[in-house]
Amino acid sequence: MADPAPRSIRYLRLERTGDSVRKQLAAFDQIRGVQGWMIGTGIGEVLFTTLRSTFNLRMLDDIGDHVARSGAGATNIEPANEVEINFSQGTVLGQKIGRGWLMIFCDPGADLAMARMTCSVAAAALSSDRSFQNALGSAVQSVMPDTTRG
Amino acid sequence: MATDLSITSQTVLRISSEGAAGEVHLSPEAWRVLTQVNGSRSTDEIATNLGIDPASVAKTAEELVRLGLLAIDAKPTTPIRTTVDGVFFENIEKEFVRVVGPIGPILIEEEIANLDESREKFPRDKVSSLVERVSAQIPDEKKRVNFQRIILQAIQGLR
Repeated sequence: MADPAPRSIRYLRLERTGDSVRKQLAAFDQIRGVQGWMIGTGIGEVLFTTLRSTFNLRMLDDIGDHVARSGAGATNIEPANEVEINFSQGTVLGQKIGRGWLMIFCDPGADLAMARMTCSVAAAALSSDRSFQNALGSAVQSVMPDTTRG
Repeated sequence: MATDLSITSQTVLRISSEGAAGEVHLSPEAWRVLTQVNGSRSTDEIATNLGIDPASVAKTAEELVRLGLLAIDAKPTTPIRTTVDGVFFENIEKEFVRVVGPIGPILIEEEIANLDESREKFPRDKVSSLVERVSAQIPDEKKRVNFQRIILQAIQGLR
């Protein structure tokens, strides 16, 4: 079992990305009920998080991957590129962004439509942004040097 | 309801730049409230987000202000429009027609009706639902995301 994630994880060097990337991610701050976001590998490693909570972040990062895989297994289709998980205490939205996942954590009563659309727009922008993908690749490599998972 | 510090349901709080004078211990509820403060949410919105009593949020916020962790936003609050105007719909329609063709306005009207609303008095808090429903009619993912990107900018302009 992995250790609880530290409160501040900054493997992903967002300062090496362009202003447009940071602007896309800052948009989540303006959405009602969005508690924060994180970028993870989808297999248990958190690369960046804005969450100031005591969640077991690695467990949450795992969720996206498990849901994506189980959905694919049940339907015999390609693994999902987006997930939405509803809990009694909130909703987690996830979208695949190249080698990572963008996960958005929402409170009950959040503007989910706005969060979903902002997530889609951000995921599209991050997936096609070379500076972001380079930073993401480096971050993935630093936490999982042996991975070949794309 | 108002507290000694005049924290009402519409009070907007921000993180204090001065910080606490000494060591501070926070209750779980105080921590939850603190994580919600972003300089634009009212205490009422924070209560809704957390699913707790607004009076309790105001009381906790008052304590956090006293501790020096939060400050009451001194900016005058401007009245917030609760409905969107026709210009906003013109923008949606123009962009939507560009993607789906002349059937666009009909599809928008259908979705407005599905939300039990009218264009003339469309509530602002349902705008995001409308845009999501309308954009779901765009089958091409790239075009859909691009439409959402443009309209999200328009929504931000409403604030």
